[in-house]
Amino acid sequence: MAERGLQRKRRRPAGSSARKPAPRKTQRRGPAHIRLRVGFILVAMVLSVFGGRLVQLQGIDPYSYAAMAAAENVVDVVLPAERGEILDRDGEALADSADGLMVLADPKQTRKDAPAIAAFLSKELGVDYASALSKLRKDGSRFQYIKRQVPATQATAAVEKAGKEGYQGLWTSRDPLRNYPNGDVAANLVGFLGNDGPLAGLEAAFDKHLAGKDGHAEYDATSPVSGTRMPLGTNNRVDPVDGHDLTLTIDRDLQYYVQQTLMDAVQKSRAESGMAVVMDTQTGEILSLVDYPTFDARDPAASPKTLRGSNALSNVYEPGSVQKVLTVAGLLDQELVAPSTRLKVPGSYRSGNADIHDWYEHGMEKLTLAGVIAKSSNIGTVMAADKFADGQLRDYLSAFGQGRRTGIGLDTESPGLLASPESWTAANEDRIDFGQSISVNAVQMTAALNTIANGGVRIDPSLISGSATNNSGIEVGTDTAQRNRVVSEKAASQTAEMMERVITDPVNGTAPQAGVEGYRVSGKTGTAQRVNSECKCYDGSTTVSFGGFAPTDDPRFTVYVAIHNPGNGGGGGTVTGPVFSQIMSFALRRYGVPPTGTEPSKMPTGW
Amino acid sequence: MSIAAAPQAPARGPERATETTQTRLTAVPAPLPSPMAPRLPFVVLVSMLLVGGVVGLLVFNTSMQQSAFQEARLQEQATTLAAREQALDGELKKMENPHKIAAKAKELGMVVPQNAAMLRVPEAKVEGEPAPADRSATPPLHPKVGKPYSVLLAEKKAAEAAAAKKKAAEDAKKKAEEKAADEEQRTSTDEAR
Repeated sequence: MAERGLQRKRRRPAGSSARKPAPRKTQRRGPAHIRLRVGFILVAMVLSVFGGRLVQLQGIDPYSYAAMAAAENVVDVVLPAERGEILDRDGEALADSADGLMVLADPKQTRKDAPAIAAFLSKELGVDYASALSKLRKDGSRFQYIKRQVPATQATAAVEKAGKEGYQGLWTSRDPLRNYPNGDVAANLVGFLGNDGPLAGLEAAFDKHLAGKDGHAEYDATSPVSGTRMPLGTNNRVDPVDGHDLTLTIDRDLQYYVQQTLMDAVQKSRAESGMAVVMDTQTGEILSLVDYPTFDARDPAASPKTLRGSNALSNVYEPGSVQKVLTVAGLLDQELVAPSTRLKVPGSYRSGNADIHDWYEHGMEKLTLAGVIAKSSNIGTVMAADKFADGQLRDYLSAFGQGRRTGIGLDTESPGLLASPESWTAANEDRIDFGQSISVNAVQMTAALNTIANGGVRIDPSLISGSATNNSGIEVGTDTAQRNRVVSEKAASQTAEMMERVITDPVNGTAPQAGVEGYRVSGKTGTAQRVNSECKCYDGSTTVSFGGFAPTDDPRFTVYVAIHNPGNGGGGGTVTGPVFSQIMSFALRRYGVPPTGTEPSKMPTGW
Repeated sequence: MSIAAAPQAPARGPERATETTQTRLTAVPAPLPSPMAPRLPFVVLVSMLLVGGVVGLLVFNTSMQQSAFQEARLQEQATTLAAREQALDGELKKMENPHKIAAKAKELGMVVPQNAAMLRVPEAKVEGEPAPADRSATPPLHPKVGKPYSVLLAEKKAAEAAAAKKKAAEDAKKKAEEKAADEEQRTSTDEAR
């Protein structure tokens, strides 16, 4: 090409002489080959710059720019799954989730105004000034949590106000909020959710069932702050899977009534604490399970840690005389005794190397077995129970569910204590007959009494309606509740009638206050000495209790009430009897249970 | 294929063969300038397609952008409305709190009946004796709705302790003052003496 250019150059002067204006033009542009060369060099320079840049971008450091671009515009947000609700048996929410918001900050934008914004946030959202300040100034971050689980309206208002005051770099994102609309009602069961996760009760035990699975969305946004999606950009989305609801067998309104009634009794008797359980006799569903004192799920920090759960499940105690019912039911099942069996009860009874006494002083008394129960005679019970063969009592108590967890689903439940066959002694057995040397939790005791009410068939108590799998992987609920016959129907109905005499017998009955007007009611008092956990001895304080069911001949509810350490020196009949009566009466009315209209038992208690 | 055409073929074949062999190389007359195909409509068509495509793409993109913004706006609106609904629902649930209902009922003078008579409609029979409700079966309200009693008890104890402390301090102060006053009196009497 260059050669031809030269030739052309040579030829040109010849032609140029003919046309006058041409040479001038050529002179101005310069010779063609120079122009070409200059042009070529210019093009080559530009191309080599491009080439160099290409090598730099693709060869030397191909990823940093891609990453920078991604960081600039790709938004990856977590889509929080909505936590399942905890509902009572009628679908009333005991714990529910609402669309709260989290307030977020982009430190790149907030850094310059950090102190002012931190002051603004601590005023509007109540966050700690110092920690907000350090978050707003965080180096190399474009995403900081300022506050989580803020009610949506409050968060939106705060961020809008911030925008109006000229503070940039704050925005909100979805963050479900946990509400406990009933405060302390059923808080002992429901538990609560801390900022970092569930901390107590069913919220903790069924966390996996309730939690669901967070999703996330990754997309190109026009700006990371506004989050407006760029059409046709990257868009990866994994939808969140919401958690499952948990329906309880609890009746919220009954729970409230029981709680208030128990509170009144605990306060009036100047007691330490109390617990009450209401169970549906035929299904084993727990309609209410109350602890007092308790805590407010909306403000758990206001109460000591020991109150933030259900002591009715986690604390065990000696049941006292209520236990006699189980002993006697076993004896009746074996047909070793009958309700009319006549016993001569002395004032003191030798057992092992100690004497057993009754709660009242007496000489030789002539009581029937029904009288022993009505009057709650320890000695009478031990005398009758001597008829058991070795190991029989333990088998019965085990079948009644003592010494093992009821498995209603809360991990905090204590199994109680029933001596193993190896450590079982005759002297021990005498004490277990009337409820010493054995410890139970309130739900165990209710389920055992419910066995008598339910014609001798024990039903596993349930707190969950239907079925649900707890964190330990155990499926619990009404669907999985087992039914096992413990004593014969005849033994159960005889025991129920004897228990009726506790309330109706004008002479020997220990708890006339526990009756419900118009209904036949069966029950049993209990006054047990408490074992002090420090000295492992009886410290003189008592646990008074009353358990029973109604109507006697067709039981619908089993109610058990226990009060620890009453300061007024009252017993099972005077302290817990009236509470039982009020709760039972309320439950019968609430569920529209008519009186059976049969005559109460006239079983003789003495002879 | 038509039958009539078949016999013609062999006749044409040799004829053409001889023609090619006999034809001599001569200048071919320049092809007649074909009637110029109208170029303008084609150019217009192509440029319209191009411009239409570009403009269409632009409009499409713009509308996508617009709808993205609209989506973001509507999403935000939906979120706000959902939040509002949730807030109202939460308020309703708070009002359904049994503590609140009991407090309201008490304000209206309502009580829990201590027992009830049953009305058996088919038999037209009343079971039990109906009696006016009294307060005996109505449990007391929380000392203050919303705060558990244990907390209130702790607060009360703390308040009592604080009051006792304050009283002790005041007593001590008073004593000190009295003492001072006594001494003053004594000194004044001393002076008088």
